[in-house]
This record gives sequence, structure tokens and C-alpha cells, in this order.
Amino acid sequence: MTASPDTPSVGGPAQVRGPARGTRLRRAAARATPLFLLAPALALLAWLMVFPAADAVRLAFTDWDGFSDPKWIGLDNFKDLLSDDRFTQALTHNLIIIAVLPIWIAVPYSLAWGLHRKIPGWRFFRFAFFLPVVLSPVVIGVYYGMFLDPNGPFNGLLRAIGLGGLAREWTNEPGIALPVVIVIVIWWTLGIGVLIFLSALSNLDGELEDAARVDGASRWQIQRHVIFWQMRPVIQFWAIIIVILSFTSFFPLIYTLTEGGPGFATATVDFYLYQEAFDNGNLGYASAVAVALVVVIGSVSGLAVALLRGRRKAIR
Amino acid sequence: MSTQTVAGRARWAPGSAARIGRRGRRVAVWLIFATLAASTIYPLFFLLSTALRTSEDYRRAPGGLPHELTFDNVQRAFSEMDIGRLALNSLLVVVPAVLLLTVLSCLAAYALVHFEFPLRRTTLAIVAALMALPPAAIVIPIFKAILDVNLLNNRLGLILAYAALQLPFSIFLLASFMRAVPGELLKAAMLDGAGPLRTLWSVVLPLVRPGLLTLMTLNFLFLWNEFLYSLVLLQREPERTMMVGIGQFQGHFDQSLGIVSAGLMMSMIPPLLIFFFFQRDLARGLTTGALK
Amino acid sequence: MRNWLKLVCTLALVGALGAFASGCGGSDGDQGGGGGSAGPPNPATVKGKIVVWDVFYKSFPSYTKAVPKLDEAFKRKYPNVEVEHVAQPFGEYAALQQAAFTGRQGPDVMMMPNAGSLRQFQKGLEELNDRITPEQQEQLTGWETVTPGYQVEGPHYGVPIAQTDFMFYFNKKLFRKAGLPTDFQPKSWEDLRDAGLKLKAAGIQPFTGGNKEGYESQWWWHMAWPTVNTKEQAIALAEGKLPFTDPAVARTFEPELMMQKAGLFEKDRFTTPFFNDGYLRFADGKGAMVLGGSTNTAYWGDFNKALGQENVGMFLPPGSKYVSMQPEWSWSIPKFAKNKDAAWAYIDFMAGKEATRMLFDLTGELPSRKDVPLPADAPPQARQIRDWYRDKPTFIATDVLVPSQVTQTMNTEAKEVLQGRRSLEDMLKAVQATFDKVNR
Repeated sequence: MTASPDTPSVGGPAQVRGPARGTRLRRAAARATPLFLLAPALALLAWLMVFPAADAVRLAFTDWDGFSDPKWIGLDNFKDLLSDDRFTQALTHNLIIIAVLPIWIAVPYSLAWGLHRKIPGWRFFRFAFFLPVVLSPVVIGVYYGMFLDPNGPFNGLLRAIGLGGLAREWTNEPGIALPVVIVIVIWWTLGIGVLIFLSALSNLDGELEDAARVDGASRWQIQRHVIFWQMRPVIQFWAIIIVILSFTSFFPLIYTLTEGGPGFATATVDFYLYQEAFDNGNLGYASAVAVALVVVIGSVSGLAVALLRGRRKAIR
Repeated sequence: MSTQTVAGRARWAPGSAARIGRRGRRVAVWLIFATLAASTIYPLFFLLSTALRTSEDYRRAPGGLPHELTFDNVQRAFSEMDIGRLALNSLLVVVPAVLLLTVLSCLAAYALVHFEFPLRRTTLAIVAALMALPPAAIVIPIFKAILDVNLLNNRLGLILAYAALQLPFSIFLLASFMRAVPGELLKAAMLDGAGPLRTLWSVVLPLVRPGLLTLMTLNFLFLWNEFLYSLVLLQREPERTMMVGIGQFQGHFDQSLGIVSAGLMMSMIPPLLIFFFFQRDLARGLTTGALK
Repeated sequence: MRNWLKLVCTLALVGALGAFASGCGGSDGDQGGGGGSAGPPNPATVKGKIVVWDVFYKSFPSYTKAVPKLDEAFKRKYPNVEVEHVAQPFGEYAALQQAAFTGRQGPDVMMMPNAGSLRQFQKGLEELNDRITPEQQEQLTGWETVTPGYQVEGPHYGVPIAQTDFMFYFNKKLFRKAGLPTDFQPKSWEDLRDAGLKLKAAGIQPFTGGNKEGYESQWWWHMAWPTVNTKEQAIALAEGKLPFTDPAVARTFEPELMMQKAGLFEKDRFTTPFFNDGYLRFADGKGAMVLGGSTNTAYWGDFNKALGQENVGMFLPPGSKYVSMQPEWSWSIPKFAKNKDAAWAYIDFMAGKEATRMLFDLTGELPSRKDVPLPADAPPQARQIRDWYRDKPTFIATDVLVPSQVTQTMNTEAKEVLQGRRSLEDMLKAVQATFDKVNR
């Protein structure tokens, strides 16, 4: 185990490998370093993400059932998309889910605030709020299927506390199923938000708060102008996460919980995409749905960022 | 622990004259917190109790406690669902994928944050954009790519697909941690003669440890729960993973709530363990990710 | 954070990349048809390994126990063939099949759970006429499910196994209690409704069941079809010549609606987490009638065991012009299969006398072969069904004829109609729209 002279050791004398000995070769090597570091990741991404994505885009312009070769049909799929009620419905559901973004931010924020102020039992609460994040969509889907069953525990609870009139078929009424799904996904993702906000709150600059208090600012004013302002980047981060999650990651949950039903009342775009590709065998059309979906995600996240940034400027 | 709790109490209830209204409000807030916590704890209790009772018993009082305990469901979950093998199969895919992800994203994030090179920002933007790809949209192309290299029904195929799917997010998260490492530290290390890899290993990584743990935890949770890719890329029974196995069992004609619950309960054990162990790192990690 | 604004630009870039890549489209080219030799395969020369995809294995309990025994019997005859029998998830089977055909890689023998599935993937399946023997053609029933145009003659894309469909079962004890005859055979749907109301008045749950997935509606629909329409109309429907919006089609949904309106179903019919709960309740004696299977699962075998052979009665849909009946499944060989000779040997064996008899003994699947009689000790219910299937005109159930995408839309929509949230016309329009989309 003798250290060879080539192996640099952290504690070694700096002079041995000082910048003075830098040659053109060395500089070239240094320039190539990031490339070497990046190469494995980029290769994997190119192979299994970028090319497949490009393939999906290509297929979006074809009619393809998976058997014969894809047939180029230009923009036909996209034209169909515009007049496709199912797609519009699914997209509307996605946008409704996104429209409750303020609640999605406010709920974990308030909870984090409570934990930050050390509400009795906060450690336990912090643990409990994160639990759903650990559960798989299959677990959540099956659990809520049983829990919200007309004869299940939830209606039982309502009846027990004298609210039996409210008992209903929660996942089977068109007006109610989507809100129920939304509540469940908020409940599911809550924990991440709480943790993010909680740690951000504990990193806040306390001096600003104290200064504001000395200036006679009310609690609400402090909350709004001092704390919220500092929290804005974190809120932005959370908003982006939700936008992406809601468009790309809720399909497994909806699939197990409602299968898009009742009717089509809880189907989202990624659910519809799966249905078109695998149940209906319209692979080309499904790719067009995917392309449209990605464009929507891009616009919505861009919009969310722009909105949050714009408000900051206004306050300043 | 105890001092912290005391301090916590003190902060929660400032010594000033406690008005009844404020107190009432505080109780109301606490009740809301407690209700919410109950809603998150209850699923575990519910599934556990359903797993340990007969179907008839369940129908009598779905939400309540079992009348008599039976381990029949758990036993059948082992014998009929072969839940032990499913768990092992999942681990055999998820653990290597998480490790691979950690290595690749470390290298990539390190390069993207601490080195200057042409198209650096563009690369970052592409990585970020890839996060927005819905996994369901590219199953078929990825399936074909894996087929082309003959890795269908091979765990390695799914491991690579998983690594690719989670890589954009992983790089993105880790990059935000790396930004917190001061460049001077790196320069100093390099001046000391350390190569880039050595610097990464002995200077950067120790500083981003919470980030690494966060990343590994989140990737583990996500991949453990993944369904679609596992279904399509591992089509044989010997390699079948947990979520697909449970999904398959759910379609059974003789299934009972009890066995499904028992299976679900056991499928949650590894993620729960991971969560227990890394809870605190996760809390720290997520913030750094958000703030940078 | 600012990078997010670049997102849209990058997406455009990815899009451009895609358009660029379109030039280099991959065409794998079909593998040649590979016509097999006629006649039964020779056990001495057939060898190698085959992969079998099966959705009923590890799904139906009795069939699950039967599979290893059937495979063993096959192995005794073909000792040089190794069988890997893979149980696939029922709910996601179509996705797996789609992936297999798209990637042109998968099993050698593929179970086609119904005619709809066969039609959906027909383009990827091997035509088997060269391999099917005249003896098989003669002895087996159900060829119309595996042949385009629902004909007995023509290109066959699979080999039909067993005979099955649905039956109305009733609990004679509960019927007696409500003052109804124990040899109940309704003359009309109104008859059935009145019997249900009588049961209800006697405090007995008339029907049990579960319809969360809408399957039960699908079954009710196809039970009602032959009471209104002919089999030619069924074919016309499947071929798009008879639109779903036709009044003749609308009338086939009325029987279930009638029962629903009369309140004969259970309250939680549309939300029961697991649809087999209804069968369990019927077997428990908690309900007087159930729409069950005619073989294998939730059928006379299960009910006889739970309620006693003498208490299980059956009736056909009232006034049927023909009886719905089809194979339980068919075995097919995908074009991409690597070992087609061994795959055929497997199918040939499973469609043979020995395997057919074993299948009935082990699972209660009624033999699809004319030359396999029921054993002497078979219960009267099995004999009755076999007689009905033999003596009455039969044809594939209508829901099996139409593409599975269409029945899927129908299932989700029917639940809405039954709950009074959507009109029958709207539903039929939606179903027709799906149909048009599939056939465009």
C-alpha cells in the first residue's frame, strides 16, 4: 500500500502539483473533465429518455396500432385531438386539479407554521403528516376504495356522529368524485410540502421578524410582508413540483381508485393516454395526447413561475 | 428531548394573560391537526386490522376492531401471493437502481454545478425539461429500446429504465445541494493536488450528505411503488415485483379483503423502515433543495 | 429557478429533435408466416421451450390448481418440451399484449380470454388452419369466436376451449319462503321483475351482485340481447351495420333498467370494492338470485357446495331466441412466437380428449368437445346447462362480439344510466362514438 507519486493525496504538499506545472495537455484534460463526469448520465438520458421522447413525438404524427408500420398522417391526430371530447374533459380535470393550487400551498404551509410554532405533539404530527407520502398509489387506491365504500368506515363514522345524511357513495357521484380525488391527492402529497416549508421556516431570518415587531407591525402584517416574502422561492419550488406531479404522477392512483370513473369524471390526461395506448391500441394518437400534455405542462409551469415572480415585483 | 419539549411548550403558550378566545382557537387548531394526523395513521390501523380478521368479521364492522384475530390472511399472502419473493424481487431492482442513480446524479450534478463548459445551462434546462415527461407517455419507446438490447425480462433492463426515469429529478435535486458548497473549498482542494474525483469524494460529498440521503430515500419510495414499467419490462413470474404482484392479486376472483390488506400491509414495510431511519435527513434535505 | 422559463423552449427543442428523428423510423418487418405441417404433432420430434401466457391461472382458484396437472399431462406426452406457464394480471393484460405485439416479442402460446381480445390482436396472430385437423374441426365447438365474420369456416386465429357463459341462479329455499315456485322459469322479464318484487315484499334481497366495474351490466346486456334480437342482428351490430343508437339495441338495456328501477339490486351495487362479494352473499343465502357464471367460478359448483345441490335452481333469460354461449377462452400463437411447433403441440393437447376431460373434472369447465360426455356423477345443474347448450341454438354472447374498448365504454356509461344520471340515448351515442373510433 505505498502511495504512488501519481495518486494525489489531500494532505500532500501543494507545491508538488501546483498550477505552475500546468501544461496545455493538462488544461485540455481539465476542460474535458466535466464531459467525463457527465457522460454516463447523459448517455443514459439520451438512450432511454430523449430518444424515446423523440420517438413519441414522431409517432404523434402517425397512425399506428403497433402491428403494421406507423403511417404518416401529418397533423391529423392533433386535429382529432381538438374535437375529442374525452381529451377536453380529461384536460379540464387536470386544470381543475391545478386550480386548487392555492389550497395545495396554503394547507401544508399552515401545517408547517403550526409545527414551527411547536404545537403540542409537533414531532408526532410531523411524522404523521409525512406518512401518506410513503404509501404507494395501489395502497392508497385500495384503502380509499374500502374506506369510502357506502358501507365502509367513513360513512359509518358520519352516521355515528349523527351526520348520516351526508353519507354517500363518495367515489361514484359525478360532482363529488373529482373533489374527493383532489382531497386524496392533496392528503397524499401534503407531507412533502410540510417538510419543505417547515425547514424553510426554521431557516428564516429572525432579525427581520423582530425588527418588524419593533416597528409595530401586526402579526398578520409580519406573516404577510416579512415571512411570506422570504418563503416565496420555496413556495415557487413547491408549486412547480405540484404542477409536474399532478400532470404526470397521479395516473396510478386514479387507475386503482376510480379507473377514471364514474363515467369519465375523474380521468386525467395521463390516464386517457394510457387508455388510448393500451386499451384501444391507438399508439399514434396516444403519442399526440402525450405531446399535447407536455406542451400544457410547460405552459402551466411557466405561467406558475411567472405569476409568483410577478407578485414579488409588485410587492417590492 | 425533554428540554426541547419544555421550550416548545413555552413558545406555544406565551406567558401573557391567556384570553379564552385565543385558547379556544388554539384548541380548535390542535383538533384540526389531530384529525388530520388521525386520517394519516388510520390507514395503517385499518389495513392491519383488516388483514388480521375474517371477511365476515370485516363486514360486521368495517371500521372497527377485529372480534377475533386470525393470521390466516397473512399466511395465505405468503403462500398464495408469495409475498416474500415479490419483496425480494422488488429489492433486487430498486436497490441497484437507487445506487446507480446516486452515482450518476452525483457525477452529473457535480459537473453541472462546479465546472464551466459550453452549453452548461442548456444541459441543465434539458435535464429540467425531462422531468416534465409523463412516464406513461414513453413506455412503448422505452420498451422497444430495452428490447433492442435484449434486456426484456432481465432485471438490468428495468434497473436502467428506472435510473433513466428518475435521473432528471435526481440531478436537479442534487445540483441544488451542490450549489451550497462554496467554490473556494473546491479550489483549495484542487490546489492541494486533488483530482476532480477525489475532490468530489472527500470534499463535496460529505457536505451534501443530507441531500444524498434525501435523494436515495425519495428514489427508493418512488421506485418501490412504481407499477407500469415493472409490468411491461418484467413479464415473467420469477422476476415479478411487489406492486405488480399485488395488482395481479387484486384481480383475483377468490380474493378477500383480508389477503389483499395483508399483502398491502407487508408491501409497506420496506418504505416505512426507510422512512423511519431517514426521516430527519429527509426534512433537512428537502429544504436545501427548495432554497437553492 | 429561472431555468423553468426555458422549459417551453427546451420542449420545442425536443419536439424538433423528434421531427428530425422521424426520418429514421424503425420498421422491424414481419417475420414470415411459417406454415406448419398438418396433422397432430409428433411427440418425438417436437422439442424446446415454450412460454404460455395465461390470465385465468392464479386467478380462478380451481383452474389454478388444474394448470400444473394439465401441464404435467402434456409433459408426459411431450417429454422434450419445457413449459413456462406465466400467470399474467387480468386488469393489465391488454397492455402487456399490446407491448408484446409492438415489440414483436413475447409468449409462444397466448391465452385470448374472449373473442373481443382475439379480434383486437388478430393482426398479430398466426393463422392455424394448416395445423388444425379435420377431426378437431368436427369435434370442437366455438370456432366462430376465433374466425373473422363469426363463421365456423374460415381462417382460425386460435383454438376454442370449453363452453361457458352466464346463468341466472336462484335459491329455491328463499323462493319457497316467498311463495314462489321452486321450478321457477320466467316467461317474460316482467315475470322476473314481479318475482323480485314478491321476494322483496317477503323481506328477501332479490338480487345480489356488484357492478363497480360495470361488468355485471355487460352480462345483463348480453343475457337480454337474445330475448329481443337475433344472432344475425348481433353480427350486424359487431360489424357496424346496426348502430348502437337503433331502438332494437336500446331495448336490450331495458331489462336491467327495469330491475334497477324496481329496486331489486343491492344499494351498494355500484361501489362494492370487489365484485365477487355478490356471489359470496348469494352463497351465504343472503340473496335470492344472482347472475353467475355457467362454469368454473361463481357457478353451480360453488353454489351447490354452499347451499346444497337441491337448493340451487337455474333459469335462462325469458323468451330467448337463442342461448349465449362461447368458449371460456382460446389458445393462440402470436406471429412472433419462436417455437411454433411446440406451441401447436401444446394447443393440440389442450384441445384433446384427455385434457378436456381433466379440465371438467378439475374445474367444472363444460367440455367443448362433442365426444367428451359428462361423467355419470355430474350434478344435475351441469347436465342441464350442457343440454341447453347442446339442444338450443347457441351463439357467442353479444358483448364478446364487439371490441373490448366498446364494452368498456358501455360498462362505464351503463352505470350512469342505471343510476339515472344519464339518458339511455346519450349512452348509446357515446358507445357508438367509441365504436366508430375503434373502426376508423
